[in-house]
Amino acid sequence: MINPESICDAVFVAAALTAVMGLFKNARHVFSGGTVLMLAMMLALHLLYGIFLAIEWFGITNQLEGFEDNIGALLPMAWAFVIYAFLQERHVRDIRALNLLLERRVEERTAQLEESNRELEAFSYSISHDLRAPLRSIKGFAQILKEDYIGSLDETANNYLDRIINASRHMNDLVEAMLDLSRKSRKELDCQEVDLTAVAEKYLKDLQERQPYRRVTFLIQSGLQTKGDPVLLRIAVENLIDNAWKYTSKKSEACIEFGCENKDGKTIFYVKDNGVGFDMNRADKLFGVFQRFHSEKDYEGIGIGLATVRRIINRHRGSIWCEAQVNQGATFYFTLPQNSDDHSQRLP
Amino acid sequence: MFHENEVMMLVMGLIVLILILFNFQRLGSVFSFKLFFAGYCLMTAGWIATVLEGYVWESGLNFLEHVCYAAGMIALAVWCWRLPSKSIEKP
Repeated sequence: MINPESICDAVFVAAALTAVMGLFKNARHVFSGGTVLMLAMMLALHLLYGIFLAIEWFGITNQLEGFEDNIGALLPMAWAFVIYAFLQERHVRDIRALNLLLERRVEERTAQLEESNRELEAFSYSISHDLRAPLRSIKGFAQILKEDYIGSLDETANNYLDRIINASRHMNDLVEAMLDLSRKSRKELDCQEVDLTAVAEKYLKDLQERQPYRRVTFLIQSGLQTKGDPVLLRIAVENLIDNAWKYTSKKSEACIEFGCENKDGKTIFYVKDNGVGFDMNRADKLFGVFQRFHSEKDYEGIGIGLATVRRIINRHRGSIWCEAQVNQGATFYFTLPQNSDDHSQRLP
Repeated sequence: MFHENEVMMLVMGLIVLILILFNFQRLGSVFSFKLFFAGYCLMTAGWIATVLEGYVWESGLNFLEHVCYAAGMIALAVWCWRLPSKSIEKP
């Protein structure tokens, strides 16, 4: 029987059908799969409810009244699920937006940091460069003073002059080291295949020729190949070997090992020695510029070698670390990215 | 006279309404949420009318119930069809 209520129910069913069609046409572009599913279930329940209402009001049968009531009771639940899905979706969107914001901030801060590092680099280069001229004057005039007034100066004055000359020589070494480090940091990377075994063998041969009286066992793994800037990697490997050579100088039976191991899919190169080692509690300072753990009298040097190595490894986007024990020796590990594209970005 | 199912439906409907009102600002980011919410309000009005028709003005409220359901579902259908048919950049 047709009455106003049954017409309304027919409209309800038609609208529910239209809504379902609209939902499947558009919703996937706006909502996630879970939300679309919730919406679809809610509309399906409404559609079913509307059909039962219409059947009842058109007077087809009264048998479905119980079903209609049960489905009706589920409708607010279905809406609740949809609202919950909306809130969850908003929550996920908020988190994504926050992540994006965070990433942008990190990028900005990284860019700022790189910029200030570049400025600092340029500043230290210019300071080091400008310091050389007055330093040369101090050293030169002290030498002139010593040579031209050798008879008229007493022993104390001569001693002071020697100290000035030695100090200015030491300062000159430091300035040169800083300039050298700065140059290496600014050099453009030219990545290609590098045979680290050949580099190590050649350098150790040179060292042995320079100090033939030393008894040192070399264990160099063959076929150590990597990708990187050949000039910079040669400097890094030479510095590490030089370090090992220096700190094993007081050992009667020194041993220097250069090799690599594979861990978690990464190739880790290492330079190991049985030298004097150091206290791992101070390891965080090890790669700093002009940091020294031993006195200059015992082991010569100005503390720039490991800083240079770290700078070079960092520029290749690799990492470097060490393990050591006092009087037991030290092992320096470093990794280099396998993919040459990873090297392409210049680090400050 | 009232049916337990209808009262249950109304109580739950009102709880959901409160949930929506408490989170209205957050739900504001849902596309055309006001229209969606209007649909829900009309459905809730229908549920209220269903319960009330057991006590007063049975025929009028019964008609109102069906009108509210139909209007609510039309609002929902319009909302579904107004959803963008192409992916939109989510904020």
